[in-house]
Amino acid sequence: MFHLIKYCLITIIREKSVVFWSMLFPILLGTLFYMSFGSHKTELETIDVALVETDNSEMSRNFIKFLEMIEDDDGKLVSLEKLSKEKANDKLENMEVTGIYYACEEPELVVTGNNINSSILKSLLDTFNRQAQMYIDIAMENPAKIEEVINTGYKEFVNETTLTGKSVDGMVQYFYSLIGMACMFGSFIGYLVSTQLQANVTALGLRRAVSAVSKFKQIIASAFAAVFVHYVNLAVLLLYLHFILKIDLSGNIFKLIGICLTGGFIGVSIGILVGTLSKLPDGMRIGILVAEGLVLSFLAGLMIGGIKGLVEENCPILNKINPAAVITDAIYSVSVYDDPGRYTTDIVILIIMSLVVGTVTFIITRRECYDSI
Amino acid sequence: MVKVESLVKRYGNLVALDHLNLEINEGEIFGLLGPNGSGKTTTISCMLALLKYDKGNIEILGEKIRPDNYNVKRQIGIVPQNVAVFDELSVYENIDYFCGLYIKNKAEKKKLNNEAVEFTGLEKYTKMRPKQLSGGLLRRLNIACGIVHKPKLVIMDEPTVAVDPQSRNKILEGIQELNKNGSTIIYTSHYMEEVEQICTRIAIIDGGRCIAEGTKEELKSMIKTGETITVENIFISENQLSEISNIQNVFEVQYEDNILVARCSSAKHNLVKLMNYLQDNDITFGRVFSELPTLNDVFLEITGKKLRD
Repeated sequence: MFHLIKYCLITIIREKSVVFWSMLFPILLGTLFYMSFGSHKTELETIDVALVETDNSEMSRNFIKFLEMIEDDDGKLVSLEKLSKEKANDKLENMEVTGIYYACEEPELVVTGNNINSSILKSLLDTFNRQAQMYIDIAMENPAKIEEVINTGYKEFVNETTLTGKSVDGMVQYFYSLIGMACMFGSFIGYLVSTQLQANVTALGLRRAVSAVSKFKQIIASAFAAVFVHYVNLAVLLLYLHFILKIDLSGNIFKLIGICLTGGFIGVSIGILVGTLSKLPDGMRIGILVAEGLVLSFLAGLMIGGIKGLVEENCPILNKINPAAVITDAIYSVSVYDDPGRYTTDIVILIIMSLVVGTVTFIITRRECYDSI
Repeated sequence: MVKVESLVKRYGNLVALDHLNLEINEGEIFGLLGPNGSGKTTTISCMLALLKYDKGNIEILGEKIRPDNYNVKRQIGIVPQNVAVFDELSVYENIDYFCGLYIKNKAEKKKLNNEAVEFTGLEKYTKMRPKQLSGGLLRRLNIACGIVHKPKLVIMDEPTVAVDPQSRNKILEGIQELNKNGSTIIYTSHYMEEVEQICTRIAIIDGGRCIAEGTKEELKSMIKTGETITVENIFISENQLSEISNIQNVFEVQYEDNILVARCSSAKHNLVKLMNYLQDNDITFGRVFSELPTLNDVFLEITGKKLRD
């Protein structure tokens, strides 16, 4: 077995096209992304906003306190200016402020435009309203806990949403999609070992098929070598993105490894599967591999940032069966959302995909006797 | 060594092998001769348990061949029609890889690798990659990978296709040496000269059937042609052509582009009789050849078509 694995590793490493597509191409693309937009992280500007206190209700005071905490946060998301209603309106008309918060029993927001700053202000108001409703609910259902919640609530809330942190750096999603694409491009390694195994595809496969080593052993050795090389490629890519390009891949490293292990396995398995399509010419099968990798990555948001959201709106099932999209989503759930439930769902989907693709591939490749060659 | 009984293989409606029978004895260089598409490679693939067949039975070394019969497979070496090596491995690594599919002991493997390199004359090229080799050297590497584990039975499927004459001779000599060292060889080809040169027994296959089998002498004795006389730059009339065809032992004449071909049955003085006729009738002519029957004649006479269509 060692003999088989050793030579399979050598053949993969020495095959230039495989090394290019599975390792160099993602690194190259990552570097291009970095040069284009990755080097300047999106620093959100501080939003000037007017605050008009219309009454002195408890809700009004809480709202002002909430806004002041946001203002005091390190990110300095908003800059508040307490004004009268008239002055606030003047400033809004002169576009000196983005919006006006009215602190009252039912806090309100007035904005003139429909841009990202307006959305952020709207989001802050919504968040406050949700939080307030939560306190009301707790006060009604468990009054004893209300003091404890109030004392910790705002701070925790501010920490969890960190709007100026990584979650708003929209460019990172391209790098997550790139990791998804790199996983899929393991198909080139799978394709190479697959064609070398099939007696009905290459003379080499024929010679190996009639040797004294069982097909089962040869498949296991080849698949092991292919997956191993691909994992090394992915590790190199992750290290390059994290340490050289300084892309924030923070989060649970073991979870990231889990994503790459399953995603990489699917990529290699797809390549092996395409390699078994003996009726198609070599060029067409390579074309399928390239198209498969790029199309799946495109739908996962590699080339156009919003495409994944568009797919989610119009055909959500596609995001569940597209391994690149699931991989991207899993990385998000680890690095951005810190959502264990979402991560688990994604990883389960990836494992199921791995099992299905791997099993089908194994059944096809283990054939030793053919109807025609 | 190999017994093929009533083998039938169909590809849909096409019958590739039609109740084919073959028996190959130990120590033979057995030639499987036939035109392209005659069923040679299909026969080999069935022997190697690569192809499912519809009817019949194949035994190698006394055992029915199956895909999982690794004991038998261990005794077989294959040299496929297309060069079957890893482009990414060097000459030595390729040989070592295929040796390792049969031999586990490292020391023995190394010894066999070196013997295969020496046998095929690849000593100077061990570190080169296949793409750096010439066609002839590539074929020799293909052979080295097939014989490195010293198999009892070596199956060679057209191993000299697209090889220059010098390399071809080297390969053919190697095959004979391999046979002297104890290997039984099945050699398929559509080059009748090669088969005539090295094979001890020959089966001619056409349309998936064995149409003749025996030593080359036996095969030649099966046909009417004993001698083929060719006369170049000759000018004769229809009447004279008719008279030539009536010369004793001449059973077929062809006259085309001023070349006369006369096929004669095996007898003494056929050439003298033809020359006497030409002299008596004051017919001028150029070069004259007299050839003994070839396997091509055998094939032509049995099937009515040429071996290399």
